[in-house]
Amino acid sequence: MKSLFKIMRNYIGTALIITLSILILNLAIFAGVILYYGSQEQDKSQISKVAEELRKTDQGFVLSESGKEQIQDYEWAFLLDDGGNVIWDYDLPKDFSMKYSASEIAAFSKWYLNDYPVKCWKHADGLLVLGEEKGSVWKQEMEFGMSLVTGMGSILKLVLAANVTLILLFCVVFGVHFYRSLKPLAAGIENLAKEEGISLAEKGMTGELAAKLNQTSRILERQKKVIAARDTARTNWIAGVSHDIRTPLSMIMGYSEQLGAAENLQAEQKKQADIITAQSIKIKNLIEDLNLTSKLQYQMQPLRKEVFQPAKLMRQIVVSYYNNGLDERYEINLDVAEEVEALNLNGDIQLLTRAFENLIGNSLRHNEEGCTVDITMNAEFHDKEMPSEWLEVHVKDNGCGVPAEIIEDLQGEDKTEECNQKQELSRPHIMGLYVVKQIITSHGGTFEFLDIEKGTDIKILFPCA
Amino acid sequence: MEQIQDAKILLVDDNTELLEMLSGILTREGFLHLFTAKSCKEAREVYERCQPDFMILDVNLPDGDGFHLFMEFREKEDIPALFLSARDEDQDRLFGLGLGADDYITKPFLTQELLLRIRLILKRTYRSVLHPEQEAGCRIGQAEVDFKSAVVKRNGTENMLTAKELAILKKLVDNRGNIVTLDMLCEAVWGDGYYGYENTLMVHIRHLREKIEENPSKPEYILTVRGLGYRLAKEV
Repeated sequence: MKSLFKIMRNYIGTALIITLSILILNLAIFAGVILYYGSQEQDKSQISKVAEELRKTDQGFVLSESGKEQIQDYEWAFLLDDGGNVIWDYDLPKDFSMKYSASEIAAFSKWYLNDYPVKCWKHADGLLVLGEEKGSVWKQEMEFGMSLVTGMGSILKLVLAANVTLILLFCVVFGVHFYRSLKPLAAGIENLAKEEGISLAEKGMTGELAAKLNQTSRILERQKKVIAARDTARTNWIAGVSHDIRTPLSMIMGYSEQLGAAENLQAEQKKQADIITAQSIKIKNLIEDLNLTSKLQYQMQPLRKEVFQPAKLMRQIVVSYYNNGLDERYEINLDVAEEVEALNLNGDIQLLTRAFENLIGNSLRHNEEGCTVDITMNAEFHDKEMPSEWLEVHVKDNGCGVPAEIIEDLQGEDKTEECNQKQELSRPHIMGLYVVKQIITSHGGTFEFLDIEKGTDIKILFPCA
Repeated sequence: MEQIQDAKILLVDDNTELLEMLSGILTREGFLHLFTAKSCKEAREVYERCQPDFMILDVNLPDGDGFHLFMEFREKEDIPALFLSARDEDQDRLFGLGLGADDYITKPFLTQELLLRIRLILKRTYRSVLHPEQEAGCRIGQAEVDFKSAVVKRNGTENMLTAKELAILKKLVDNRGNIVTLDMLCEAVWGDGYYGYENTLMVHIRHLREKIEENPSKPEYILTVRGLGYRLAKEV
């Protein structure tokens, strides 16, 4: 919406600039024309000089040489005495009267004489009248009140102000109108970006655009459905396959365990049976993780959240390893901070148990020579007075550590979902840890490998609220 | 029934090979009264004939499902049962346990785990039948514990157990050899919402050791598992 407002602001600004530029250009052209023709007029208005050069001598009136030059611009000229008689003339056509009454003089002094545009000038001995070429001058009587002439400056300012105000008003009115009709469109685009379906009213000046957006929305909706259906099919397929593998795998595991424990077999054969068992367990874990990861990926595994005590859950998980006969090569220690004992979390116990079992199991599986797993639980306080905001869990072992490329694959936060998906497929051996990350992040937590010299240290943060 | 191996076990699964394998595993463990069925119909017949003490049921069966079969049998008699299924959905597991089954194990399973769970269920269900004397009391090293009168006899001296000490000791005896978490012990004594009693629990344990152990500062039987809980050592 901010961007829409910006667009409108720019639109009004641009409209103003365009209008003002046009206004200034027009004024400049007008001023130019006035100046140009003004100077031309000056050339022609040599009438006063003609009058000066026409002198009365004993032989009558004589026009000097320079006066004759000046008079070339005119068709004819005559001088009237105060009685209206022509007392001197120059190239006066024959059909012209030689005497003029006061009313005739008043008429031609303003307009034309026999269609010739006329100019008059006061001469010492009467009135000098000059005729210009027919059709060369358009005459119109103009008369302004004095107040108008003196107030012209402020009137011009007022007109300019009114113009600018009107332009601004139009800009704002059209701008607001434009803004209003674009607003639902902008909201629609925003919703589309959020992958929400839209249905805009397809009318007004933005009707066509709205129709296109609605069409886009329908296409997206359709594609979303197709993708969802494909995801569901894939998840169901994985679930189906993993279901079908379970029974045969039970048989392989059952018999290999029996062979491993059989007394009448040779050590080598027993060892082979144990390898089959160990590998079968890997497949079992893999199909469980594969199934879970595909469900979590496509949000088909709803979180069954309930309030639980993390300290209690962790003790149960660790104790179950010991009670199920943890090999002596391994040791799992749990250190729970005092303040964590009182802490309650809201989460899916099954999934979180799975996550921690995957982490501990990972440490045990990859360190066949044995290792110590240290689990510590701390509550992170931002403010000692307030209830704890984060539960911090470290699962640390002193084993061989996790290879750097796997850490990179799991830690890459800037990677897109698509990219993660690809890695998940290309590196099936990180499935167990990938599931852990999915479970932790679906609870709003974070999952991070800490850099330590030997072994692995995974730091998990859970929000307590 | 004198020992858990005497229990009559009904195995229901549509897969013959799996039934054979399960039978083999259980036979090797000493369970000799085994009955198998491949369908609901067969299971009903076998049930009527043998009156099992324990059932291991698959969920997917050709003529019905294990859940309904379980409900049917449960209406007649309250015998323990365990679901062993390839269906690993949470809702299946929750449904099965919600019906009152004692456990729900998904395939593929570890033989050892399956056997542990079967033994645990049988021990828990038939404790009074199998070890009437254990209900009444037990022996821990030199000490003789009488649960009924809450008395510990050791080297000719008698000590009374408080109600809380008795509850803790019973929990440890029930899980003898296994670690019992602090939470389980506290819950056994104070019920839910036991938070803050961990230190009190330590005091009760110390008193118990004084009554049972030869040298309470170096306990041989009631052992501390740091950060996790306590374990009652198995009889040597």
